[in-house]
Amino acid sequence: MVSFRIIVDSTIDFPPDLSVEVVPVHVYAGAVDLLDKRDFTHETLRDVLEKGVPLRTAAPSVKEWMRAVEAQDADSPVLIMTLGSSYSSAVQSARIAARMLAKNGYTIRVFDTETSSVGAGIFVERAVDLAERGAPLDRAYEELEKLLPRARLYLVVTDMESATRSGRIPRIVGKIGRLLDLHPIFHVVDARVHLWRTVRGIDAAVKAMLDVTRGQNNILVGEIGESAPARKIYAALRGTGKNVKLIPADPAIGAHFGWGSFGVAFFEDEQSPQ
Amino acid sequence: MVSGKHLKDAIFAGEALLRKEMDFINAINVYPVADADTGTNMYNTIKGIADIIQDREEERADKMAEAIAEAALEAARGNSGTIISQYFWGFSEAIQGKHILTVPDLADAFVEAKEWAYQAVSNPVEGTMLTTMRAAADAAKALRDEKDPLSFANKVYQNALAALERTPEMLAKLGKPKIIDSGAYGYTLILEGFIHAFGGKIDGFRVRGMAAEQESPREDVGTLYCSNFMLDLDDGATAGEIRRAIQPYGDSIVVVGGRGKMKVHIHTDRPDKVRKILEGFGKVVQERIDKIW
Repeated sequence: MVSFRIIVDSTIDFPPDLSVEVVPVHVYAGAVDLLDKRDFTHETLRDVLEKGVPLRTAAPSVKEWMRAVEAQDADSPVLIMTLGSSYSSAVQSARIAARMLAKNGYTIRVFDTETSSVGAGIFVERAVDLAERGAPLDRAYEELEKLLPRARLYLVVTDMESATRSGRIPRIVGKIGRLLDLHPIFHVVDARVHLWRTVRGIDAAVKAMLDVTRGQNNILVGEIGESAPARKIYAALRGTGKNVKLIPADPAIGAHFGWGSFGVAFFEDEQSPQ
Repeated sequence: MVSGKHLKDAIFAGEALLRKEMDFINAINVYPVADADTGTNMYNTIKGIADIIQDREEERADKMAEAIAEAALEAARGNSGTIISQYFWGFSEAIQGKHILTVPDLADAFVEAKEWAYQAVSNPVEGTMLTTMRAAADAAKALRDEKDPLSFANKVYQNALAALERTPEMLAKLGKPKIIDSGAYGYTLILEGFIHAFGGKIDGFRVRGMAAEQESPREDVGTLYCSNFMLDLDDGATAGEIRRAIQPYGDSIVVVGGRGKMKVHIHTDRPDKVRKILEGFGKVVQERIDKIW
């Protein structure tokens, strides 16, 4: 018995065995509106990337959040967790849904993870743990808020085209990057995506990921498609006895960062296993 | 007087205008992230509303506004769509119980709609669609004594346009390029939809001034040139048409101008080809080509 329900948007990448409800974001492949994970799968992603179809994503609407909450009665409090508000309107639409549903007796808190993919996934893992241990919703929310400054997400872009198309990388940088086999590594910190470092060659990117995870524990490694570098990182981290999980990242994240991109997430200075 | 049918017509007129301007709005989308989707999100929101209400025949204004507001909650896409959904919700709240709307009713609706839009955003930023919504609301409040809804809507629209023209300065203060805000422009098209629904028309006015990173299908990059052209236009060419024509040959495209002149900027490895294309739109009166690498 958990103390609150957890509903998340589909771009958050967390271990599949967790009891979490997922509301799909919309992915526009050209003009076609696809629901993430249902109509838009990794196969679809690969196909449209190969064909060069422009991809855009849009957060769930207010009504879609409301429907997810109303799928169960108002007895259980609800924690909605979203992709960071700096790059998605998910938190905005979820907060409006929460405000509207409060009139019907629902208790809802909306948590802005301020990050994405496995970076948000580490918060979901922690929220599930708190719910299973019976923490009241407000206390769990406070615990999660305290973790915000310690959350770290590093993302390696292997497909410059998708990242430039989505506006994450200036186009001219993307062109130079492709020419020189450069891989930008993004660091999501303080709710913003920063270009942390640019490395030449994928091995240098793997090394950089292993460097940032040195001394850390409870790590999620995310991969968009089957990513050999991500698996290399995962194997290396497991070899050192760390608590680490390899997570298939959501295809909608792939719409922004491209096939084969990968990342690592953890709470800084977390030594003890969960 | 304004009925439910007028409100429905306004949505359909707004949808047509947004469909026409969607690419342009995407191209000028720089805030909050230059991800070129504001036009798509606004269009999909209004189209989604139109799809949901298309079979709804409702003369009562309050009932139609309610249907629009409900549909908007379902159809809203992105930040801009979510703000619009709340705008329509506020509009609907303000006119509950009103079968037919007078100008003071419309004024109240525009003011309440603006309030709801601001509440939809945890950190409202000026220089965005909120600024144009506020300008429309301020004008609506001041114009309560107008008798004719069309004249009222026209003046409200003109005030929103004046605010739109101020958005480049506001965005520049946010460290963004000095161009009109995409969402603010999209909102003026929704307002324009009201004018069409009330039997009016905007004569040929389209805000044109644009800058945006553009997609390029080209993968091969040789020597790259920063290329600038000044063009004396033949009749009828628009910035959008010029942009589309040169888009396959480069990126970082900026097309700005009006009154027969257009300034074109592009990063391209084929400045000669771009020049030739531009000559199809008018006379190239100035050019400057600088090597980037």
